[in-house]
Amino acid sequence: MTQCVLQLKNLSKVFYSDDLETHALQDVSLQVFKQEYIAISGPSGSGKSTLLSLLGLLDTPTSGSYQLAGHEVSKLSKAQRAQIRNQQIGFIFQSFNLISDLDVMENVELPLTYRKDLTKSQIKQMAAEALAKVNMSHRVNHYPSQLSGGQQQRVAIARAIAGSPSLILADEPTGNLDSKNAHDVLALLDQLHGEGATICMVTHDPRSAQRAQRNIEVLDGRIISDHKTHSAKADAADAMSV
Amino acid sequence: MSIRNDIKYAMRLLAKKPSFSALTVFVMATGIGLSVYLFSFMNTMLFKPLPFEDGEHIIEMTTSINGKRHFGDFNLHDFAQVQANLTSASEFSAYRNEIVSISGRDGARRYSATDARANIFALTRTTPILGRTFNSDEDKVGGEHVAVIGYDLWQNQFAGQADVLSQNITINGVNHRVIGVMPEGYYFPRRAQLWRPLRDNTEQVTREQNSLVTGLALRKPDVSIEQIDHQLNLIMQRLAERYPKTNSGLSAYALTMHMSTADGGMPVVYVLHIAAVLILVLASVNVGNLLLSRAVERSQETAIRVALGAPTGRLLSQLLWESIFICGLGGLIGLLVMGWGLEVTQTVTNQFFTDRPPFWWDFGVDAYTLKIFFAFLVGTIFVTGFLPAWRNINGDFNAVLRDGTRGALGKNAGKLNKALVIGEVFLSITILIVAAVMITASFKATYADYGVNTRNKLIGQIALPQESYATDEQKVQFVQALKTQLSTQNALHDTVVMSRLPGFSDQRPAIAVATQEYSQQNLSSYPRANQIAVLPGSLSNLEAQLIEGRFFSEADNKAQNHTVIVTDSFVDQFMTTAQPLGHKIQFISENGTKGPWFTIVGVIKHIVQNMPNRDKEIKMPSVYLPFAQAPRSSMFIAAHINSDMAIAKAALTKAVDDIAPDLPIFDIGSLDARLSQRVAPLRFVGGVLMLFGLASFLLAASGIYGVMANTISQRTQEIGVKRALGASEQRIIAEFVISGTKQLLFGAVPGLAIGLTLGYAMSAPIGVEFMDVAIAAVILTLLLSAVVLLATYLPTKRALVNEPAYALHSQ
Repeated sequence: MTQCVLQLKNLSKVFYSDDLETHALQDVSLQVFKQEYIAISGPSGSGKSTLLSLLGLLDTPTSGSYQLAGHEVSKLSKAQRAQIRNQQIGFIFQSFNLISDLDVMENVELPLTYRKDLTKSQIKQMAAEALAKVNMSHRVNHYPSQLSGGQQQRVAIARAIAGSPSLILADEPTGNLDSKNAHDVLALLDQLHGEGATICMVTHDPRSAQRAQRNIEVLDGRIISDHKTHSAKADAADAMSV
Repeated sequence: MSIRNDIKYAMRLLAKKPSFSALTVFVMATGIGLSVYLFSFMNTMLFKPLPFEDGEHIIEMTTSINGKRHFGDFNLHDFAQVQANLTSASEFSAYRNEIVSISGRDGARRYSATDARANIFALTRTTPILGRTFNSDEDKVGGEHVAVIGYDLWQNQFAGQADVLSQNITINGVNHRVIGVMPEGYYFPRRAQLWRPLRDNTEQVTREQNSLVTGLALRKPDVSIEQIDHQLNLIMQRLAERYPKTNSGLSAYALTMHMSTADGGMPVVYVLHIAAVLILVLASVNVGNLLLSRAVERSQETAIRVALGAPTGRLLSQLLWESIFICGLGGLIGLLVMGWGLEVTQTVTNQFFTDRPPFWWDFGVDAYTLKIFFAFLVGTIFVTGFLPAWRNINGDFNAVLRDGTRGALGKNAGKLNKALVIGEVFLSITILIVAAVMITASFKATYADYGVNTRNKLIGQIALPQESYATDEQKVQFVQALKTQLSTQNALHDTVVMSRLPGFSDQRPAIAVATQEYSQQNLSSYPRANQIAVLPGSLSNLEAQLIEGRFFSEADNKAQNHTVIVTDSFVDQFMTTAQPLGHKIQFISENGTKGPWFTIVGVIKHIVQNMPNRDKEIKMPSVYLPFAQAPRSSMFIAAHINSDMAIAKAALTKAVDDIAPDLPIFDIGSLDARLSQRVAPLRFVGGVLMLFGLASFLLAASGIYGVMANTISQRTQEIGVKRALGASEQRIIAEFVISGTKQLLFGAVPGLAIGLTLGYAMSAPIGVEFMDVAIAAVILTLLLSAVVLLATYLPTKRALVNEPAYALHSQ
């Protein structure tokens, strides 16, 4: 049986502002299995980014249960969540979110420097390997402002995978890119998936969503559909034929 | 039209955020008000030309010993040589100040008088409002006794009578014919209310008689004070070669009248000017930063304007108008408060003196103050407008429009913010050290230990007129009679009669200790000490601490008994023996004549006879001798009071009245109050500096907090990213605290270096030890470090309150 990476049960998130109560997510239940490639889509304000934030432990649910790698994480302390984010989750953002004062190598090293179990040389090596994987080894000394959007996103992907996380969360990774660079980035995610990564990607681009194995549609804070995509079926057919 | 729109826009922006506007206006008012105040205050005291034609050229010349400027007087003959050979000055005159008693219908009153050369009035291009000034016949030994009186004296003593010129005035018991009345407000050279001819000259007075004068002259145009000093040095060197016994080591120097009043404290004055500029810079940087944070908030709006084709000039104009309003309104408030402050200063400084301050101490908003005000105003507008403008011009508008994030203006802004914090730390540490030095000096002077008990002592002063008490015998008789009279007054106990009480400096003759070798047999090679004449019983009544030997007895108080008591500082500094009792010392007069040998009969603990702050670096030793052995014209009376002050005052006045009804006893009051008054200028400057220190600390604290909060707020997204990548809160806090500490060090190290240098320059003249400055610097650095760390910690902690998801989407 395929291993379950994360499991949400009746997860809800309510935002309070003044007298207003906004139910961003309502009773969401979801399972993500190892090496799955999931696209979460939906219109603006549907709750997909909130869902990704909860999956990434960037925010806490108002109610419900969230198990990551078999452990309940919805009630962990900030420090514990930080440690899990650092070692088990890799983030890719729409606007890259590279630190402008750090060069490419330093940006990729950044999450690794938060770990206490790695030596400097190990950090260097892991960062260099991640950069090699995204074909950015030739730009290690450049600053983000000296890179194109596509290059910045590749560095961001390197940063996300440098620590070999069990889950990669991507929030509109192609949203700020032209079609060529968007294609390259999606190809890179395909490649990572092919190498065994579990990926959850928020997108509202149908073409990007079609590259995933599973498509979850969110509307008004609820999952309205959860189905395998054509690509997954093709993969399954390929597997059968083999 | 466009300017009107910009003005309207700037006003609308200010009205939109009233608390922000009020804060910036307040900061600017504080900065401009305090700095202009200090410049105006210093200018009035020390730099403003005297209010006479050619007033800026009037100089005063005094002597120095072994290069140390001590405002000494010239021997009349030496000054005649200066007058003959100093080509860089003209219209030489000379004077000496005196306190005189003027008898009137309601008793005797004390006035400040100046005995001067006939041309002293011509030097100031001032003519009397009534009568005339002296002629050369009156200015010589045997000349007629005439006097020119001041306006105040005319009003007080003669009720402003028009026929004053036909009347006589009794000065120190001698009738003088009033020949002129000077205009209101004329007190030249400092606070004179009465002028008499000097009545001696080199033909009539010998060099050995050592008649002393202070020199006056007009500096020739285009000649600097330094050039005059150089010439004076050469002249005095020649005199030292010709008269080595009296003139060796003696030199002379010129100063403006103002500078001579500064009394060696010019390093303090220059440091205060620097402090004034620094506080203005601090205020400007703070306001600049506040406007900068506004510019950041409006970066998207600015970007839209650029995209719509707004020329850079228009954008700058809008920002500049905002600065103009803030600085203009702040400056105006600062100017008004400062004007009030100068009025208060006038009242406070009038209390520094028992009679009146130097006549040019006329504090108020004058032309110079307004000039400085406008210069500072323009400067602050430039600085406060420049920072936001720089920020906006250098922004990447396209990036702002593209993703609308705060971080889009990123790296340069970060550098600027760091520079602002470093600058604020640097400026505030420098100002705070300077302020701490002055406050320490003020505190130490106010609570100085004079070596005697100064509490519950009523004091008064008497100046015996030369005309009535010409001989030593007459003076001794007066003092003996006074002692008897004082003993009959029940309200007065433990009476003291001394030529000078502790805290009041006396004559400091050269002294030789028997059996000790002195390198050269001239005046400059001998040490000097205060020489105080006391009635027996005075030192014990003041509770001076006897270390060995004994106090004076009545048997000592005879002219032929040559006994002295010295302070332990005298023994430490001038004697090589540990057994001073029985050793002999000798006083040497200014003309080099050696006096009789005096035997040391007692050693007492050091008594501060000078200003306490002047006695810090090197304790000035004192020698006390019985009054009969060194009779003086001027003396202090003190008595312990157990009863009501008014009764004691009446008893003191009666005691003197009973002996000499025409002799005024003046400056009656408590010893503590008089000593406090002596250090009042230092206390006042200390108070002003305390205000400066407090203002700079608040400005720095709020400024640093503002910059840090702004910086951290701009980096909220970065914080979110780092947290998303797994950075713990502690890690984020540590990162910012380390960054804050670095900025602290970059600002504090040069700030400490400059502050300590300035503190060191100030410390000696005002009697603060460098160790005190160093301790103050360490405390202030720790205090400011706490401010920086708190200013870093609190906004960081606040930025971490929300979950990373919010920080990531922060706009």
